[in-house]
Amino acid sequence: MKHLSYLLVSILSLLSVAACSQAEAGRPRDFTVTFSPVEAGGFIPLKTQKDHSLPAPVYAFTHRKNPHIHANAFRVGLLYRSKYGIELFYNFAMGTRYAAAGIEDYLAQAYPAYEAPKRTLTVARDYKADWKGWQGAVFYRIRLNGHLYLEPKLQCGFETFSQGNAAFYLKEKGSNQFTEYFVNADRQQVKAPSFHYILNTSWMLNPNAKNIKIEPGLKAEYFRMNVDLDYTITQSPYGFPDKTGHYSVNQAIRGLILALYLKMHY
Amino acid sequence: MHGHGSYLYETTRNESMSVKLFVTILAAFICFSACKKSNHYFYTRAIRLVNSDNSWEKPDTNNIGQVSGQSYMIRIISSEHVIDPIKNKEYTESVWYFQKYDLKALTVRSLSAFDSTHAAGADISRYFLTDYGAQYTIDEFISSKRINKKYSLTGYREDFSTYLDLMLMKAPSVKGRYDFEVRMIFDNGSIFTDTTSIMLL
Repeated sequence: MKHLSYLLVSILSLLSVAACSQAEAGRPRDFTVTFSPVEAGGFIPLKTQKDHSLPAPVYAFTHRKNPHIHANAFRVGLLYRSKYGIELFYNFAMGTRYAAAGIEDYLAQAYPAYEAPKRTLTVARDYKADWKGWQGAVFYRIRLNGHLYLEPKLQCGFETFSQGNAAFYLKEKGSNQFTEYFVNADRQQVKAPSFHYILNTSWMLNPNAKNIKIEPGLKAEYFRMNVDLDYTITQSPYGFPDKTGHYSVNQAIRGLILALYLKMHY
Repeated sequence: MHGHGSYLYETTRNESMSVKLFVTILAAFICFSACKKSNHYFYTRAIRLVNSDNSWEKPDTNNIGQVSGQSYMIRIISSEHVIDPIKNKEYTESVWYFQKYDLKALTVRSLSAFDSTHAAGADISRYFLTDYGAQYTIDEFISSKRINKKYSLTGYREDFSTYLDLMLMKAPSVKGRYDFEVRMIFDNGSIFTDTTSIMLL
């Protein structure tokens, strides 16, 4: 994947040099370099079917429901004859949050003789899952009028999915006895391909400009990724042996992204 | 010629404004960087023990005379003294306060016979866990240097108090009246000892 990304960067660099050479020679340019310095919006995870065979804490960890901020930057692309384009960028800021309340509700029901579960301070309370990696896209631009453009786009990438663990402290009512409850991801980083179906709507501010054309737009994206995850749940009652359970789950992450972006054409 | 001179004047003035703006931003950045929170150190000057009932979510420390041996807890309240307090008594920003000295030893002795293996005066430290965010044995608490926890407190302080809870994880074999002695030794040589009031366990 790393080699492929180097190859794509090299191709983009060569084509951009070619575009500049054409421009200097006074010919109409076949290629235009595009650059998106920033895009920002929200990621709304879509619900997936509940797997009743999974214990509730694993279910809560793998079926995330909380929307999250989406942001990205430095998307570089090349446009051929103002219609066909390719893009490359490094996605570094996609993620969502665990629905940690689901685990706490489960523990409150599973341990009725215990106080409300308390998250322990010794384990990093990182309830965030995020993924990052190189992305490539192909798109087609449709000019609706002098300023307005539609841009259907197919994008795929290879993500490194990261997640945290959780630990809870349950104190027995009426005594000092306690149980520690750990939900641990066996592998902190998992590789997985991702697929994105995008529709951009944009408005070119200065279509007749000779140098840099500026184009703000709105992006609507459907995103899907399947990740194979392994979890270990450990119940550790003080003074008694630990109880552990191992669970494998194929987590489907699907969601919608709505974002505003800025693109520049050169 | 007049127009050209005016253009030069405008350009020079714009550049001058840009330089001033840059210098202002740079100065603000340097000031912001320099105004970070200052650290202060404190040391323990005395300890006081309070009997606690840990039956529920939060320990009850109010005039406990009787408690189940299963939920007994000793709360060590330490009086801390700041070594070099902030000069300005009106100071209202938050400040980090750090424990200056490491804890070398913490022992709990039962002043009456506790069980068949622990006569009066025996060390029963291993029957206690510290409740300090996580459940450490006393030895683990000392070796992990948890006593050096920093405190963010507001403004001017000369003295303040901290506490540490010791949870009894093994009830005495016979129900009765018990009292305990706690001794803390710091690496500056200071030793603090206090005894709990008699408690029906």
